[in-house]
This record gives sequence, C-alpha cells and structure tokens, in this order.
Amino acid sequence: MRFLPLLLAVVLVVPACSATGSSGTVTVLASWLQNKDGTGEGDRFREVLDAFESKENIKVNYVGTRALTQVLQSEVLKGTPPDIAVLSSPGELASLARQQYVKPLDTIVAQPEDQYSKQWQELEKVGRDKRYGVAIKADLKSLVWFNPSRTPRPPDGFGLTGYTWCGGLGGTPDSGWPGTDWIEDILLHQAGPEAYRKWASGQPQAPSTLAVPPVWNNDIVRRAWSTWGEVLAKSNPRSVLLTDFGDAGRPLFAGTPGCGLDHQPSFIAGVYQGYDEKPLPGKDFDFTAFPGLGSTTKSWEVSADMAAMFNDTEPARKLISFLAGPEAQRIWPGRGGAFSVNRKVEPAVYPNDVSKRIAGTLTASDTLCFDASDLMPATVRTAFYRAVLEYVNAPDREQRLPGLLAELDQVSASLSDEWLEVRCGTG
Amino acid sequence: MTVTAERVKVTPRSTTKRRLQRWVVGLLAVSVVLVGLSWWFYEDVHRTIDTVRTKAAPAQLAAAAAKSALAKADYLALHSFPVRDQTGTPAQELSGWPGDQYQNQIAVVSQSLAQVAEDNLAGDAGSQQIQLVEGLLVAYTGWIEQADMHRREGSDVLATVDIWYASRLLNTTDTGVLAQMDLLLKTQQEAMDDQLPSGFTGIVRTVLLGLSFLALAAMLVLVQVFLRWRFRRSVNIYLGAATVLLVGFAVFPVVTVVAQGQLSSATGELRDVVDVWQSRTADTVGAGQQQLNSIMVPVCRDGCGETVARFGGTAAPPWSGRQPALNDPDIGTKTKQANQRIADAGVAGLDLVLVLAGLALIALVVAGFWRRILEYRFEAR
Repeated sequence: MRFLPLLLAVVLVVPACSATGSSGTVTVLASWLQNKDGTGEGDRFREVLDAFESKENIKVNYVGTRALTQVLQSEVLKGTPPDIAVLSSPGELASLARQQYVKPLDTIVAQPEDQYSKQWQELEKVGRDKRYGVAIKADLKSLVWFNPSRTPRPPDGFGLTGYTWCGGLGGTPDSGWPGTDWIEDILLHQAGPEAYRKWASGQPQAPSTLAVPPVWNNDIVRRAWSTWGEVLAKSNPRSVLLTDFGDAGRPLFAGTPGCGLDHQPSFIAGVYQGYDEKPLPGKDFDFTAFPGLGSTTKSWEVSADMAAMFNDTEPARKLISFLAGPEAQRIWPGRGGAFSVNRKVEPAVYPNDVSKRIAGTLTASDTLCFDASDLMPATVRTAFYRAVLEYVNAPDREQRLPGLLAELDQVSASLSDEWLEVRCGTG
Repeated sequence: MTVTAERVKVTPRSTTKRRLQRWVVGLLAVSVVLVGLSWWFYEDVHRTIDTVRTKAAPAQLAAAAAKSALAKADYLALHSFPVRDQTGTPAQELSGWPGDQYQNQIAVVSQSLAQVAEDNLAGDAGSQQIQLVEGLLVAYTGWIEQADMHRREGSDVLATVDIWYASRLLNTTDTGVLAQMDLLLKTQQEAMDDQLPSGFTGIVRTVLLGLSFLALAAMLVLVQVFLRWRFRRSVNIYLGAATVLLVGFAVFPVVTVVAQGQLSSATGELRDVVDVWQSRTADTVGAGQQQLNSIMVPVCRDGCGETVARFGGTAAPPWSGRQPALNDPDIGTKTKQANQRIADAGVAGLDLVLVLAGLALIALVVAGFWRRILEYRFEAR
C-alpha cells in the first residue's frame, strides 16, 4: 500500500508529460537534400524547421527528394499528399491551386506590407484571387555579371551588342533554359510587363481570329528573338551550345580574359565562388541590371521556391505562418545561399554587399515577373528550350526564325487549355 | 511443568518444500528463457535470410543491372554514332542508329527498375529514388531521340550537341543518372544492412543462447543430485529425459548460430558481386566517355568552350582502358553463385519442431517434480 501514492503519481503524470511532449506532427516535402556533412540545402532548411519545432513543440517530418514533381503527383493522386510541399515552379503551384489540391493561405498568413511588398503579395497568388504560396527563398534574374577588375561597370541602358557575352546553354536535364531566360528578359525589357504577361499566358499580343493564334509569331516576340540573335553574332554557336551554364562565366576570371559579361540569375554567385580562382563577390564579380530596351517600366524576372499547404491541420497552419514570418525568413539567408522576400529580414544578415543589393532589389518596388517558361505548359516549355538550341545553331537565324516561331505556335495551340495566367507583381 | 514443556515444543520446520519450489521455478524460468530465445533468434535469422533472398538480393542485383544496362546503352549509342568523314559523307547508315542493341539495353534498364520497385526494401526513400531515375531516364532517351532526328535531318552539329547533352545527363557528378542509380543501389544496401544483425548483436545472441543452455544443463544435473540426497532415489526419470532432450535441443541454437554466419557470408558475397558489377560498369562508362571525346574532337576544332575543354582535360571520368563486355557471362555466374549461397543459408521449417521440443522440455521438468509437489502440497509453510 505504501507504493500506491507513487503508482498513482506515475499513472497520472506520465500521460500528462506525453501530452505536453509534442503538440502534433507536420510532414514537409521539398527538393532540398541533406548531406552527411551538414552542408546541403536540405540542412539549411532543416535549421528553419528545427527553429519551428523548438518554438511550437510540433514535430516536423521532412522529406527531401530531387524527384519532387513525380513524388508529389503520385502522393496527390493517391490522396496522401504531405501537409506542406515546397515547389520550385510557380506554374506547378498555380496548376495545383486551379485543381484545388492546395489550400488558400489568406486567413493563416498575415500579409502586412511592411513584410511583403505588393509585388510579392500578387506573385504568391500565382494568378488566383487568394494567396497560395509562401516564398521560402527567391532568386533574382535579369542580372548581368562582370569582373570589375577587367570590365568597367556597364552604364545604365547600355547596348547589348557592345560587349562580348559569355554563353552556355547546357544545363541538364533541361538544356536550353539559359537561352529562354535571354528571350524572356529581352521581351520584358523591350515590350514591358503587359506584353510579357500575354505571351507567358499563351495569348496573342493583339486579338486574333486565326485558327493558330500567333502567341509566338508576332512582331514583339520575333523582335526579342532577333535581338538575342544580334547578341549571339559575336559568339561561337558550338561553344554556346556545348558549354554548361555553370561553366559559361569561367572566362570572366581565367588567366586569359575571355568574355566580358555574363547573363545569369542571382544563384550564379555561388557557382562563381566554387571556381578554381575563388573569386570574391564585390572584388572579382559584381552585377548590374539588365538594360531597359524600350520599356519604361523598371522590371525584373524572378523565381521562387514556394511552400504550399495541402492538408489544413493546426500544425500545418502554424508552420506555414512561421515560415512566412521574419524569424524563419532570416535563418537561411543568414547562413548564405538564399534570399528572402520578407522586408523585415535586415540587410545585415547577408554576407556581402552583392547579396545585400540582390535582396534589396527583391523587396523593392520595381515590377517583378515570374520566369515565363516556368509558367508555360510543360510541352511548350520543352519546345521553347529546343527552339532556342535550333535558333543558336541556325546558319541564318533570321531566315530560320519565322519557321521556328510557327512551330511553337502549333505546339501552343494544341495545349490552349493548359496555359496559366500569372500577372507580374507591380508596386 | 513437563506437560507444559511438551505443549510448547515445536516440531522443526522442513525446508524441502521451499527448496523444491525454488528448483521448479528456477528450472522452468531458465527453460522458458532458453526455448524463447532459441525460437526468437531462429525466427529472426531465418526471416532475415528470407528477406535477403526474396527482396534485398533481387533489388540490389536489379539496381546494378539497370546501371550496367544504361552504361552499355550509352556506350552503344556513342560507339555507333554516325560520324561524317572529311568528305561529308556519313560513315554509317543513319537508319541503324542508335540500333537494336541500344533499344534492348534501354528495355533492360526499364525492366530492372521495375524489379527494384517490386522488391524495394528501402521504403519511401527507395520509391522516390526510383521515380527520380525513371524521370531522368525519359530525359536521356529524349535527347537520344532528338539526336537521331537531327541526324536524319542532316543537322550534324545539333545531333552532336544532343548526344553530348545525353551523355552529360548520364555522367554529371552527383546529379547525373548514373550517380542517382548509385544512390538507388546504396539505399537498397543500407536497407538490407539495417535488417542484418550487427556483429555485436550476433555475439550477444550466441552468448545468451550458450549461457542459458549451460545454465539449464547445470541445473538439471544439480537437481538430480539434490533429489538423490533428499529422497534417496537414484535418478529422476523425467528430469533425466529432460536432460537428454536438452542435449538434442542444442541443435536449434547451433542451427541459428550457423545460419547467422552463413547469412553474413552470403551477404558479403552479394556485396562482392555488386562491387565487381559496378567496376565493370565503370569500364563501360569510361569507354563510352572516350568515345564521346573522339566524337567531340572533330566537331570542336575551332573550340567548343569551357565545358568541352574541361571534359577533354580533367573532367572526363577515369577509364581503366578495358573495353566493355556487352555480354558478361562471368557476372551471370557470380550472381548465380551468390543467390545460391543465400538460398542455402539456414535450415528453414524447424520452427514448429523447435516449439514442440521446447514444450516437451518444459513438460518434462514439470513432470519431474509433479509427484514431490503433490506430496508437499498440504504442508504448512
């Protein structure tokens, strides 16, 4: 009998302890992998999730896989999606939102303008009327990189053809995408965000009654391709075709100077730093904005990895809300290799001036547009990549162009119901 | 006074009943522990052997086969790639490229991946890796089809670019298809290793079985001595029978320990076969990359940029110089031997015999004490 009070205490206290041991579980799927040495992107993201676990006492089961699209499609169709998935393609997120597989986040995540600019509030809607995504990390495109010790900073509005450009279209498994970035940037900066939106959403620039609407084979798109053709005039097409995008910038730092400018997104800074020459940001490489080519709107192309919620559970709500907040948003940039779009993330968290300026641009008031090819139906996107390769290789590009664009129009018309409309974010 | 003294005199209490109870409880406890451990270890080792035979080995061999077939397919595509001679005439008929052998190897890749999926031992991680490899495989065959199309159209440069992209997709460090296939194989090997008893576990099991066997044997001998001393009987027949049965029961722990050793040896052989296969695949990959280099040289006389330059220098994977064997009967023989070793491990089907023998052992122990227990049943404590 003397052990009875002790037994009662154990019986009563143990369940109480286990009840406060964890307040639930949330499953998260993303493409970032963890390394054994702790240096993977998945390890950085895990640090964000660890902070959430400590704060909310909710367990997070994280799965990182490079086969994100296939795994997610399979799980969604089986009716067992993760609570939260981080998608790298806004087109994919928009498609899932259209099919109502993901939940709107407006009632879960506050969007004060001191944290998220109007542009990002618009982009995170991915063309819908409600917010469906929370940008975990973002990249700025429309950047032109140079080596300040070899090439003076190009002036505002510099001419594209006045420089020797680095070129590399290789990028497995989707070789050709660096060329689509070129055409997108040129079109955005020549014709402006509205023309860009029409093209990216599969609409002709002017009302058309043709059976195959000229989404591609029109003056605006043709002019963008031709402008890129002028840029390519000084390049060796075989070199452009056979060089990986990650190797394209090597001549900026090589013993024998090669090209002067490199058109690449913000993540290329990490690639440069892995070169043998170990170039330093600010000293050995810097960037300037892609020049305006006629459009009066200051605009940038962007990409983002966005978290979306598939199961509306309390732990999932808490995690989404946490991921959107400044506390979570400053963890990864603080470790390097990521940019936040949350304005509360102080510039001081970024390791150098180059990163600070990129982060500043992402949160400023210029117009931001998602990468157009990311929004196109997958078949059109692949055709676009391949058309770029054909164009570079063509001995007479101007002669080849109308035929290529007509072929793209044929492909586009056959998939007319798969196009998405995602507006650029404007201030 | 005498009467009173006689009244308070207490008869000395017998300790026999208590000692009998202790012997019974002790013998039964050790018997149950021995039988229970023998059954548990026997089941566990044979279940693991079964898993290795039906899942782990087929999954690993299929993963190695898939990688080997893909490397061969790439080599065949590169080896038969129709390079034009200096007069501009195709050195080989286009209709034959990439050829039936290439198609056959791609079919082997698909079938092998399906086999890995069927026998996948690595759960979600394995399934996700298979999905990734299958997705990349589609991209690879897509580039080869593009190369074929461009060759037929006469776009030699684009065809070369396509086959370059295809080969890069296959061979890129860490993210290439072959690297992902290595990861697939690794996940299957790690899943098997998780199922196998570690060296420490094996020793602990052997020691526990040995100790419980020796303890029961010693107790059965000692209890005979005790009973002989206390009840003046020469031998307790039931306990004697239990002792004889115990000697026979030793076969189960021995079978288990031997099976554990056979399992360890068979899985080691499986790993060796996979390693040899991987090494042969590396030869095929190396030969393919040399072939790619020879395709690129004439195309790139005027320079092809940083990536091709680095490929021709240091970026190409090392190659032993051995030419690939498209049909490798040696691997087939080794695989067969490894599978046979796994199939031969252990002695399956003894679990029921083990349980019955265990129950008989326990019953004999109880029977050996039954009469004495009945005798002392009503004696006060």
